[in-house]
Amino acid sequence: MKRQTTLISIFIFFCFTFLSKCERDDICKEDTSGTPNLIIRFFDANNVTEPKTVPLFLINQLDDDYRDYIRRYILGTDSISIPLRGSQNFTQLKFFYNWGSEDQNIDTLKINHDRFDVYLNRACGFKGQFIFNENPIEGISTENSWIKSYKIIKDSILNEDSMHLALYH
Amino acid sequence: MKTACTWHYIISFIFIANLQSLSAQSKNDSLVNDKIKAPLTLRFGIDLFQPAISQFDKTFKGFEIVGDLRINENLYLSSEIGTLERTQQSELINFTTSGSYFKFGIDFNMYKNWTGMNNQVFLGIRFANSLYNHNINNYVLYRTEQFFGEDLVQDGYSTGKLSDLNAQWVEFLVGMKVQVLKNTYMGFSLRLNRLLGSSSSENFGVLFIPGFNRVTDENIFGSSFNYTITYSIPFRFRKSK
Repeated sequence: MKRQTTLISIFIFFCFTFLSKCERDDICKEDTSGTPNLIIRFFDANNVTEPKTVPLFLINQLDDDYRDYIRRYILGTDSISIPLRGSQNFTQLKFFYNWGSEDQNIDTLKINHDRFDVYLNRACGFKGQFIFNENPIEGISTENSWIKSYKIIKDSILNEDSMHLALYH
Repeated sequence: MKTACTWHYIISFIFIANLQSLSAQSKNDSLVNDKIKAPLTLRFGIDLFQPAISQFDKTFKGFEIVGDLRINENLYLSSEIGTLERTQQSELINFTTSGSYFKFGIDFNMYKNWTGMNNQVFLGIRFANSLYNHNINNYVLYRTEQFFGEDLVQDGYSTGKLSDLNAQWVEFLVGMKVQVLKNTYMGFSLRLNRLLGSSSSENFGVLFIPGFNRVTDENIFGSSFNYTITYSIPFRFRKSK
């Protein structure tokens, strides 16, 4: 009888261990770097080594209202990070120069990229990594563009450690 | 999983009830001390748990055949062979695992039976091997900020089949088998698994192995169990004196 009691208690113990299912690797750690954003820096078109601030800078998607912006810099900035689409192999965004003021200028940039996905772990799943296509940037060649030219600094976007793309204006 | 747990309890309750009735019975029996040489007994059956779950859970299909051969008074050669197909959502990834496994080892009976009875409370060890495939059905790209909604990747990229995966592990188990009808036994076993080796594809982890069950990222232990119904065929090719 004693043996039976022992066995039954072992059994009940096992039942409880099966029921407790929450484990540490169910939670993706917050400091895990995910799908990287594209890091762009802006330089002076006349002096390509000199960073140049874009005043009143706003970025949003093509169909969106300006209120649903992706990035907005009231004071201007010379470096931004923008997300790239995973569902398509291009990302099209509107870049507002002097947004809201009289000499507002909008450039619509189409960034062409391929993607490959890398497995991280159980909790975080996969993250995407991007590579620029052969024709990486479209939409800045017109006369009215405020962005004059571009230069690919890194053709693969693997992390957010340093700039991938330089834009000159 | 709720139905699984319910079944878990119902079936285990039957066992415990059975055990109680057994001990009640045996108190009235007179003790017979003659030692009869144990006949070689072949016993085979199926796992009840997996087919039961397959009825309720459309994402799970499993079947396991179990068998053991009594070679000594207390020693059994045991084996389990099973197939399993299971689709699961693991955080951001939805994947299907299909494969089969083979476990082989010994059980050592610790229960002293009355003469003529063949109940078992056993400790056992198994060496197990599994061959399986993963199919990544879809996944959501992990991002720290979302602007375009969730990027659900349903084809291309890292989705698709990863075949010819295998894993080896060792299982330590405790269990019992109780005779419920003539030559028919019901039993269960609880298993602690320790992964010995596994092949993983370059761009995916080992998240689930048929027979081993869930594999966690942080350690190499797993657990599993089965409820069995088995039928025994006694035969002897050694004449007892």
